[in-house]
Amino acid sequence: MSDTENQLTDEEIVIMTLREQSHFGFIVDRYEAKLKRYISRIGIRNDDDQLDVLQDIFIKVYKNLNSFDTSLSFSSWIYRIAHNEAISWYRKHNVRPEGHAIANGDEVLSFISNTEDTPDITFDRGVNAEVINVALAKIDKKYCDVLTLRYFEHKEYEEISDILKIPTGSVGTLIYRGKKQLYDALNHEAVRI
Amino acid sequence: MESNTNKTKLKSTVLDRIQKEKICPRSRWFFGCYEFFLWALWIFSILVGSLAIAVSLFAITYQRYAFYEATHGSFLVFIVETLPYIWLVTFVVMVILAIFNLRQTKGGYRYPFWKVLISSLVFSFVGGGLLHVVGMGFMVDKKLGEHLHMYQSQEKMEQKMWQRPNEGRLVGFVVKMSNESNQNSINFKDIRGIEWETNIQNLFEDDLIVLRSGKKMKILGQVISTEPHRFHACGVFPWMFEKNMSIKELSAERRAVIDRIYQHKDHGSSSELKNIIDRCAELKVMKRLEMM
Repeated sequence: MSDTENQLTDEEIVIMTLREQSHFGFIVDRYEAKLKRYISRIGIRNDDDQLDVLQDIFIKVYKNLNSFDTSLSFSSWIYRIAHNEAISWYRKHNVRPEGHAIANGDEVLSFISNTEDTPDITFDRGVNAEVINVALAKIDKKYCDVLTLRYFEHKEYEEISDILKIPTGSVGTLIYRGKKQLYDALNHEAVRI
Repeated sequence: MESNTNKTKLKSTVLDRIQKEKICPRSRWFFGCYEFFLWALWIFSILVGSLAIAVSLFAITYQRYAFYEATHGSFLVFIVETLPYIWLVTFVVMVILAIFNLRQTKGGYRYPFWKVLISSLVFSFVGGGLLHVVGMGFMVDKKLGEHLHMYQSQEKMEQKMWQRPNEGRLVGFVVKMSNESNQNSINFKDIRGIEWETNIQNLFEDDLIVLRSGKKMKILGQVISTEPHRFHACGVFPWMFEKNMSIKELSAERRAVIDRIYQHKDHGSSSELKNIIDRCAELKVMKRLEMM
């Protein structure tokens, strides 16, 4: 992408795309990596499957460009579509999410040291990515989704609310309960309160 | 390097697919209409919910002042038997539908469940209250009763409870009555078409006023014989259903009805026509009124 394209906001690109189809490529460029990482985190691990789902996501985004509500961020809107497409993909293939694939140790470290939502729970710094992955796969999907968006996609509460279509107040509750359930899922040797 | 190749690959695949399959963004109209449809459904569910409340309010206020002592052993049994269940269920279904529709609208998910629930309830109750005040509950119940055979309107229910000759209750019209004050009997045709020679010696002036009205009415008394059809009247009450009465008026009417019936008790012990009047003093309703 050129510098000029980089300076354009998502909303401006949407307007341009509605006039000229080829501009949609900018959106694909901008979101491909992010969405690939996201759908991988919510359980679609196979490369070919990811490519299929990503194609479907972008086609759906294109089809529904006119429904994009400018009162929310484009990023939230496209993540919502990605989330829904991933769920549809599970249903279509009659499979369960393969668990969460946390990209690297830094993110795990950032996650376990974060206490903003649950000050009473701190995770042991010795917990590694694999252990967190296994534990995340054990907890309820609704908690998994918010924890992923909050700590691995670094989304704000309002963005999570827009992506998952739940009230903002519920986001905090789900994060709190999710962390608690995660604590239970991890064994007591790995965490301390 | 590989990542960049994949990136280009996806972009070109998506753009190719868009061109090959001639995919176009859906028009704004489509989404506008969809949003409009959801809001229209929401308004519809609130309106039907309000109507359900209006009919329920009408039924409940009406029943509250009905002369239930004549038909049932207790108010509780009466209310359980006559509650407008179909409308209460309709109201619940409409509230659920309203909540569902609101949640499906563009920004509906942002509101917590309790706010959506309370707002739907408030809109339905306020709407229902207003519709009840302007008489819509009464109208809907009556019209549905007239046009839907299966629908049990308040009018049909009232008729069902009062057209029971064996229990001393009749609904119908006076077919023959002279203006003479010393007239002892009249011909009364019930809603099943049976004509009763009805003794009216024990009726009070207020009862006679109702009899002379020529309108539909309810009679409380006793069957004397069925071959020929002879009935002894102890009280005559207007078919209140056809009246557009306020709660205050309904309350006064109910009091007057009870007083008239209860007067037979005193008359029973003092009148010269004791053999006739005793019939009224022995009505089941008299015992129920005594227990009140």
